[in-house]
Amino acid sequence: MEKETVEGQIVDSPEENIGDIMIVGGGISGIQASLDLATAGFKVYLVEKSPTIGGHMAQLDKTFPTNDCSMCIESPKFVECSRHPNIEILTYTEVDKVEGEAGDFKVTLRKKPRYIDEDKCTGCTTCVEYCPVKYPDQFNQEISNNKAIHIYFAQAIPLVTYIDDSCLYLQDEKCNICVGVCKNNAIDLHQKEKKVEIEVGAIILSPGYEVFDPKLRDEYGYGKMENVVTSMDYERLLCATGPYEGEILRASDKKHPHNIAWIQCVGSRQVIPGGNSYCSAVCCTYTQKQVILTKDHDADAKCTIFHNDIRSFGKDFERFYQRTEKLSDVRFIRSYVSVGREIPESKNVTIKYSTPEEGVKEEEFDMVVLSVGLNPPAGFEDLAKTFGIELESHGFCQNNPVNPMETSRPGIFISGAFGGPIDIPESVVTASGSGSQCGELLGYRRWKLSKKRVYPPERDVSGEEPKVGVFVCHCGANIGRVVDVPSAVEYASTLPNVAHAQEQLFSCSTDAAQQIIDAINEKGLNRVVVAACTPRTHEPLFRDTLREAGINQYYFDFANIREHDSWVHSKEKEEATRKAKDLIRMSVARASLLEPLQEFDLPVDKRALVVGGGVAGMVSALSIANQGHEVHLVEKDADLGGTARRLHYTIEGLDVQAYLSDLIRQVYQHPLVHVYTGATITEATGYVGNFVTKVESGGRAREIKHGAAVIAIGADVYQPTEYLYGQDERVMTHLELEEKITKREESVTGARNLVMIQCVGCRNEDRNYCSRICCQESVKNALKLKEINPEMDIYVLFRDMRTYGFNEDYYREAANKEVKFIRYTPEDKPQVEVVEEGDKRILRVTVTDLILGKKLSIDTDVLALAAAVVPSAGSQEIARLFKVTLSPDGFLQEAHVKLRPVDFAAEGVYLCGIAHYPKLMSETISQAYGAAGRALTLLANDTVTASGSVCVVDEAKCIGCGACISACSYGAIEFQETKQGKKATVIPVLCKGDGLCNSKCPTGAISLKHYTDEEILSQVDAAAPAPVEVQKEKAGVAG
Amino acid sequence: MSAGAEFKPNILGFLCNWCCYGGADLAGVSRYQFPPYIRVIRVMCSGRVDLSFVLRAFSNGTDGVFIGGCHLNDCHYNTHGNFDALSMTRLAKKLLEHTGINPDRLRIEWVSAGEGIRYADIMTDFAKQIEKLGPLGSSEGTDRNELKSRLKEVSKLVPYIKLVKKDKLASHLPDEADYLELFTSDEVATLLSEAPAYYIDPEKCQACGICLRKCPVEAITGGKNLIHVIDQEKCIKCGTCFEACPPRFEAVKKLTAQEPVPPPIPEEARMIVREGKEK
Amino acid sequence: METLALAPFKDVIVGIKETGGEAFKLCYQCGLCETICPWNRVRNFPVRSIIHQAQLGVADFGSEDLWLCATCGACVERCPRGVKIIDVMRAMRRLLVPDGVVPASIPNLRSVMTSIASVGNPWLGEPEDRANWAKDLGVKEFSEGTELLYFSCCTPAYDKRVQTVAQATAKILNRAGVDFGILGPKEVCCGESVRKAGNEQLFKHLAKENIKTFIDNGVHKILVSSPHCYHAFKNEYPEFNANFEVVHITQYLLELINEGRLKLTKEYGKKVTYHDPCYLGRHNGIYDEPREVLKKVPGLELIEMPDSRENALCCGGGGGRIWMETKKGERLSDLRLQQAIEVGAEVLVTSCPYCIINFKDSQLTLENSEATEIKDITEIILEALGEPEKPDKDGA
Repeated sequence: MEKETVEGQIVDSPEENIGDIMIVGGGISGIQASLDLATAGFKVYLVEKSPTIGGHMAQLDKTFPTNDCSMCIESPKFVECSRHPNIEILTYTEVDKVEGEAGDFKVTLRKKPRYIDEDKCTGCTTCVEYCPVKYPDQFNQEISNNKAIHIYFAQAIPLVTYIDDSCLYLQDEKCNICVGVCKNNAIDLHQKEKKVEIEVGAIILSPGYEVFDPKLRDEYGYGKMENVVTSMDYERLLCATGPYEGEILRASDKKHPHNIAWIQCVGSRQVIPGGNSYCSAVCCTYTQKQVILTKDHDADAKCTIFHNDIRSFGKDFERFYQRTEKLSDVRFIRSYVSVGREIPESKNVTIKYSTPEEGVKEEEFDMVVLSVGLNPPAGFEDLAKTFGIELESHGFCQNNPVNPMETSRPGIFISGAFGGPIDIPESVVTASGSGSQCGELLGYRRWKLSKKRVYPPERDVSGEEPKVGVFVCHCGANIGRVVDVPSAVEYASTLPNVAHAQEQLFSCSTDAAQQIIDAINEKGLNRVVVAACTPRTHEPLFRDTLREAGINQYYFDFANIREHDSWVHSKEKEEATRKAKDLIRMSVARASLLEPLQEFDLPVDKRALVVGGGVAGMVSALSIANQGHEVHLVEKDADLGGTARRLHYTIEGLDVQAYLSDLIRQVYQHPLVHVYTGATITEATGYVGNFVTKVESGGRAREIKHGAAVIAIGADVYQPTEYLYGQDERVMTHLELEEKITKREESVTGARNLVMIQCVGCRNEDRNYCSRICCQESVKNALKLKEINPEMDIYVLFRDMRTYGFNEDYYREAANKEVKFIRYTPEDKPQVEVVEEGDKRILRVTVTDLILGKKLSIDTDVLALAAAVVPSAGSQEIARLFKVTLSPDGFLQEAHVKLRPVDFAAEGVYLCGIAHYPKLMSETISQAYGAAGRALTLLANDTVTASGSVCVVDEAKCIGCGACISACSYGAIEFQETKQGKKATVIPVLCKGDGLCNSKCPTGAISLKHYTDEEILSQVDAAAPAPVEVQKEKAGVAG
Repeated sequence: MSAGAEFKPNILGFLCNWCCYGGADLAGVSRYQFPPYIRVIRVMCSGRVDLSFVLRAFSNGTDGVFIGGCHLNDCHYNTHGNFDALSMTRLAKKLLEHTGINPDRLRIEWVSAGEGIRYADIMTDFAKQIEKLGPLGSSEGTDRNELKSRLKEVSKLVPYIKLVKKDKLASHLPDEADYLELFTSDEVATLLSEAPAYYIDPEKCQACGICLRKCPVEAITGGKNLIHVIDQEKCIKCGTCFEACPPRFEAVKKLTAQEPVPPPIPEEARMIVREGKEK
Repeated sequence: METLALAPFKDVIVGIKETGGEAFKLCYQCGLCETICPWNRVRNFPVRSIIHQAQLGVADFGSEDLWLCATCGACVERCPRGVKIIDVMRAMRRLLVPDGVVPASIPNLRSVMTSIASVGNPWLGEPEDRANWAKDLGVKEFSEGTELLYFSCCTPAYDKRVQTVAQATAKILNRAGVDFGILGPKEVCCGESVRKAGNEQLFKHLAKENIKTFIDNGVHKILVSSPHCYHAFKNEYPEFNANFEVVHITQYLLELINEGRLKLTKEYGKKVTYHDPCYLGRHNGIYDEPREVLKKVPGLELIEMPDSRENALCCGGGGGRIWMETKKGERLSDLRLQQAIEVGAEVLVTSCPYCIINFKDSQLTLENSEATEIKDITEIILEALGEPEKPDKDGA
């Protein structure tokens, strides 16, 4: 839109428009950054150009590699954002101008007319029903239609409508039905664009990415052949909220495709016009996800994936790949393809592919999915101009290899895919990381502008009879498709103590929350049961809803009829419905007995402990210390530096040792960082906000008190037993090679031939994961060697080249420098032998060339092995001490793969670096800042709220047998002398609420609140099989 | 199997929030299918599962009970809640056996939050197992109500059992295999058969009220100058009264299971008449 | 399975690089080229493994495959790694023709090369007969000051089947009153295909000879019928610092029509489909001019075949293939003619002498293809011009 046409009157006086940080882009990355910073005491403006926050993640059906429902894990964060007192969401708004400097930016925003008064609109969508204009729905990739006036999607924030340009009135004042039907007069067709000026101290750019448009290359037939779709289109087709309610249908005949092909690297790894030279990093795995989901929809579906390398480089991706490969009728074919023709009658599409064994074949498919890559965000040039930042050659943000969240303009940071193609966890990590850096910059103004959340006073319902409200969620179709929700509701309403029962489309949406609040107030409910998904992700949300309604949050109970029912019994609708009713009955019984509990605030010790003095640990420590918190940095070795001490250059050409020594200097010079080297941790006790850790170093033992802990204990390198490693001095790992290259050892730099073998010690039974960095490492060292000695012949023997992201460019550069890449298979690994010829001992590598169908033998002077990265030896001990878990591969296990990538399930403990999973140094640094950012969400607060669910003793019943005391491992119970003799008593702060004591106590004197014998037994009884005939009766009701 | 086709087992599950419940959730998000028989109760720790919960479930006629916790040494809490769950389960199995219920109807497994597929496999397997056993009582060849009343008897003794087996129930053995024989059948048999009874000798009782005040379950009735009497129905055999009764009175008697408990003296005869007081 | 020791082959790699084929190094063996290559519609042509052989130096120089590539450029357009596959093929051929002597193993090619070397054309035609096609057309010999040189290319000059192309061109030029001339015996083969066939030595010789002739005769602007000549003059002769203005007949026709110097008056009520010659389309990006020209013909209905423009299916005549024997059943021109028939074209029109020859050959062997006329674009334009208003103007 032309600026001139804007009637730019400034709304609100600037005084009210002062904040700490502006976050541009409301995708998952922007959302996470907002939540972290708001929780850490900053006032945040979250600016989003579309009508709702959510970004691309909201469009995805599921997320790899756990196949979590994307909307289900993201939408609670929408609600969190919208409810957070320190976050102001500005949707349908774009940034016009950014003046000023770090600490003092003046930003001019353009609020596009929504033609709706956001405060008046209730999102009832009556207007949508009456609106006569149908137009392609962007949210559903324009596969289905929506109205000119509509809500972007069901869980949109704000949950209000907006009017699109396709509106007849806006075009030529033809129709204004909507205005008439709106009961709230929320529609204002004369709304004008508004300019808003705000002042902030720092800016985070998280504009995300744009999906590659295959129309740019007509050979894909997209837009010309009806049954050729993009992977984003396919996400919507898969999704229960998609164009066909989760039915995968072909555009041509609305029939289910049974034979589907995926084409990889569409728009990626190609130097042809319109394409991108880099690898988009996410496509291989999202394709595998789509294949698995396709097989869920249709067990007999035939799925074929055409690719040139499968890049399962992320945590647990390799297993995900194998899981996909093992499915019946799934083929992975190693060949790029050309889309042949559309068959006139069937509208099927043919694909030509080529294998060394059988040459070129042409096959017919019902549907072809283009696995499109990621482009820089739309309008990235203007974006760069507006914010005055540099872009790199592909159009992504130019960032600093030792601080990937830093832009060329101080005070402006980036998070998410604007820094290059990355997946959700990395977007979340960089969000927390950029947040931490804003904290470093603006620490002095923390809590100055922020507000605390106020809830209405709690209604005392102790005197009332239990009045339970039951809310049964359809979860789109996730539950509704399997469980007969209406009959479940009808059944619930017949249960004792139930005063109200209703169904909801998405109980997690804001309007649903309002319904619950209204029901509580109007029907005088004092207990709430929600039958929906799992309490592990959604309980906090609904407890909060109860508080909003002035009811004690512990009056809530969850019936999990999705994860534990509709999703696992999807073929047995009737049984699933019966189960849902049982689960609801159990919840209602329990709810009736629930008691109000008070949570209490514990003080937070402002100091942090960082375990591990490598790059991850040091960066994290510095970032925390720079925000004014004391940090104790514990390193087991005599020196700081960790694995980085063995690295000398990165693929971008960074001098690692120079960076490292500077980092170490900063650490030692920082007044708030205390370093303990050669240290061991002997004991770790305490709880979130109040840990006590015993450290021995230099022969003396210290007791360190701290509120948070960051675990960054690094990893080790696999010591190969294969390929003559350790038997012939010419065989070495890459770290050893790098050492020799740096020392310019003639034996290496003067070599005529050098062979590298990839995947040594991983991607096998013992270590079923990809070490992620080795392909890049081999390319890096190959380039270095070619730079020193261009004559050297270098052969890289690989399985899949996994140079993801921008590293693909270096892969191509290496090829251009004539590094030779030869593929091998795990079934037929390269053979290495020493051959005596005269007095010469020749090191000979033999490998089968799959393209030529011949064995090749290479006499080499040096053999470099890409040895796996393995969990550090100390990881199990550390995990035990801090009570955190390890993944099946032995790396640190984060709380949630997608959305809590640097948190542990154990509160107050965070992780970063290669202890979490092998990663590049730049990625380690991002994660280190991320961990710091998360730690600050805790440390920046004076108190942390402890659960009300702790143990309590009924003295009259206590016989002082001491069973509870020996049962409690937190020392939370002790004896106390009373007139009636010694009685047990609980120290609530120390009680973790596990309830071990409760099940030991013979007299039932001690009990765990919220999980009392009575409450649990009520569930046991309610679960009891009702006499058969009664069941039939119920089934009758259900039917 | 044909039998399983019409018989739909009722299975009750106790899952710990941090591991097994997470695994069950993951099974869901991964869409791993399994038979729809289990009804889940979420507890924070498998160690919270009380012996009485298990017994109650079976006396309710539940066909199978499942307990799911974190892998040993992985407990979210100070690393032994699942050990406690294991000891309790071993004891419960013996008690079930004793009451004539097939102990295989009670199963405990370790599932991490990352093991969705493992959870689904276990559910499928356990469902098959219970289908094979048929409805509670059928494989045992005992009528349900008969089992119910036997369980009622055992349930009454739970406090006593907890008290006597306090230390064993809290044991943390290095190897899971060591738990198999933690409790033996004979041990449990004698434990139950030798459950004592407590009785107040009306001749000796001085109505001092000490035992009455100390009884945790208010099983003792009486008052000033009223001889105290133990309500055998309420008594949990904790022996607190026995310990509390002043040695100079020795009014509370501990009777072996063989000695019959004398009937309580009639209400009217409980008033204590102390000599010399009339004058 | 046989084992190859790589060491001895390093010289071969050097050789291929020296002969301009170093593009091989970028290949990551995705196989896309093979799926695109037209040969793989009729027989197996393992492009990817030939490139991979080049990477390792283990090429099988005895194999006929090296001579198969028609240099149509379809693979090059799409190669994700930007490998100039044609250059690699050419380089490997060069290694086989070091001193201009083509191995006897390659049918026809050797004799053709000898012919070009001795008489300047592939068809053993006498140099002095080179202008015979122009007899009685009133075509003058090019001389200093003539505006335009028409370079007919050897094939229309000698091959009876396509002489009509040159003749039609001359007539059109006359009708438009263009001041043009020809050099007849003085000119020799442009050498484009000679070079692609690996005979660098002979190509250089031909190029220098032509360049000398052009300069000596004061040529500035050259009009060509053959896209191959167009490619040689425009993209290859500059290597010898010779830059002439080169225009292809399709471009020139459009120019003349737009300027109104040609009036297309006569109805040509036929369904016509246009075949893009690889060297006009993919190699030089000329797709629209010929179509524009045809659209200007009254009554003509232009229809497209499945593979057109960038994806046009090669006739199989490039890269020296025009002089080599292609087995029946493996001829790409058969497929192309078939496509024309399937879309219901009455006329298959193109603007390259090689294509025309191949299509006419196909017509002889292909079932019920007689109905479809094979024409050069000039022949249609000539018809559409109708009879000249004043006969005397003709041949002035």
